[in-house]
Amino acid sequence: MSFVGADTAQLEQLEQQLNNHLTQLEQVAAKDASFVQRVVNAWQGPIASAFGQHWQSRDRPNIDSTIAALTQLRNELTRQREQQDTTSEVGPLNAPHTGASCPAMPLGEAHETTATAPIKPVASYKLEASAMVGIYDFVSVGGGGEVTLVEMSDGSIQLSVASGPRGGIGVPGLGLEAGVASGVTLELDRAEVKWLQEQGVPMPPGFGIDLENVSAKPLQITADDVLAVSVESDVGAALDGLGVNPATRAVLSELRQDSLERVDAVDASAKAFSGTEIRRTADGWEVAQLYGYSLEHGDVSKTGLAINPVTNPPQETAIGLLDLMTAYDVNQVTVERTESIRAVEVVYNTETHAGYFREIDTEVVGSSSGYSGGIDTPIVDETPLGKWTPAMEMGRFDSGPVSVTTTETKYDLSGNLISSPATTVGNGTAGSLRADIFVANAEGSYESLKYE
Amino acid sequence: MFFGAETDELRALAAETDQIGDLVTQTRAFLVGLIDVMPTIWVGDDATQFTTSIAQTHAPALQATAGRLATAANEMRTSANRQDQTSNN
Repeated sequence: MSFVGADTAQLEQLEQQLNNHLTQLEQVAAKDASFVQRVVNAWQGPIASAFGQHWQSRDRPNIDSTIAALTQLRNELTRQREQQDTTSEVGPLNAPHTGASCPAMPLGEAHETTATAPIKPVASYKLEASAMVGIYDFVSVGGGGEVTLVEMSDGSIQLSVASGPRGGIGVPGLGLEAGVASGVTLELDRAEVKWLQEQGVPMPPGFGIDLENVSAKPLQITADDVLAVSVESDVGAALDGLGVNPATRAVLSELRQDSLERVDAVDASAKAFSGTEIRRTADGWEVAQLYGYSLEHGDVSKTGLAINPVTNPPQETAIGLLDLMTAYDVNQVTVERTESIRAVEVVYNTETHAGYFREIDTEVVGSSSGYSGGIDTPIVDETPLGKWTPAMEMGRFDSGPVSVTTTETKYDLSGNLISSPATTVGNGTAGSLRADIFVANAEGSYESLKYE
Repeated sequence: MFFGAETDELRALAAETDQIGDLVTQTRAFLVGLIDVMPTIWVGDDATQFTTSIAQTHAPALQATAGRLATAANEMRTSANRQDQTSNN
């Protein structure tokens, strides 16, 4: 006997259905003798006798032979599934990971309590915040955190909360940074999410989990709700809004073989991260060790506000005049952002003792627009000479469309492919808000995605 | 001579017979579904033999049983009604 094209979950699902039908048929068979006797007693006459005879000679044997056939199939399925369990461990898909300032571990959606088709993320909503303040010369300390809600295809909702301290060397916006974040992932239902919302927990723009007609229920966390616990650390270099003067632009354009004519500043970060996550799966608890890096850059283009009262609405004209005449600097900005995250996870199941590798590649492409503010040189700044005069951006907010593509590939511990690459594409909106005021720096961002 | 208690019991038995018939019908539908699913996950001589016996023996047999149970349940109800009418007259 050989089984093809079926994974453990499929076999388990079929096994469960077989068990249900076997239980029903066995209940019918168990009531047989007394049932027929009651029928014959209450329903006297030739038809009742014929029914009793048919039952004994045909119907009951039909049911018995069906029970035998289904039992045989069920036993074979069980044997086959147990064999597959011991020879290959195919873990559940991860929820897509988009990489953060303190990247949360990619969360195995993991909680397959019933053996059905793999549960996939439908949408995710993430809020991140961090704050750093200089304490001594070039040393700054602070902390960061993120909250993510992931709506799964089975209707459940996963809430991940991660936070931890961060430290930096350099001036705010430019330097080396390192952080540690510990996190927990819980399974909630809609009523609990509604309650969180009612308690004032902020939901990101574009939050789309349908909570209408849902009655709020206070959050009560038990051990069974915990899907994963993680600790992760990262270290990297970052620059935010580094101004690009014409000379630098020429060099950068040469290096990137790309015209940076319109680019006024560059955001960039290179980061390495590693961490450990313990998570619940249908086959028991898994321990995952993650290693990875991310590269991110954003090209920032700024357009000063014009002061033509004919083509501009009054408020923009007023801001434009303010911009021109004073050291206050206001610009419209667009940010073209790309981020690549490469991670490898080594996973070990503490119950089945099976292990595998998971490679997770994530590409983020986004384009957003908004406003920035800062200080510059009055009047001259709005002329062509402005390119050469000093300016300092102190705050910026922007938002716009983003696309996140995650590809996962699984290998066994010998490096053989277990499952072909699975790609998840999420589209939605993302935005950020940043303030750099001398020694203090605060950032917040959101990302709302729907998965194809 | 028939009494109400007997016809009540007969109706209860008719309902029970319908329940058994429903379970048999559900299992038969599951078997029919299996005939479609099995070739995609299970191949070989055993698989072919199993699927053939499901298609040619077990599913038709359960269909016949379900049919007989439905007929019997209806007959029981008719009989109970008739007995009640006779008693009333």
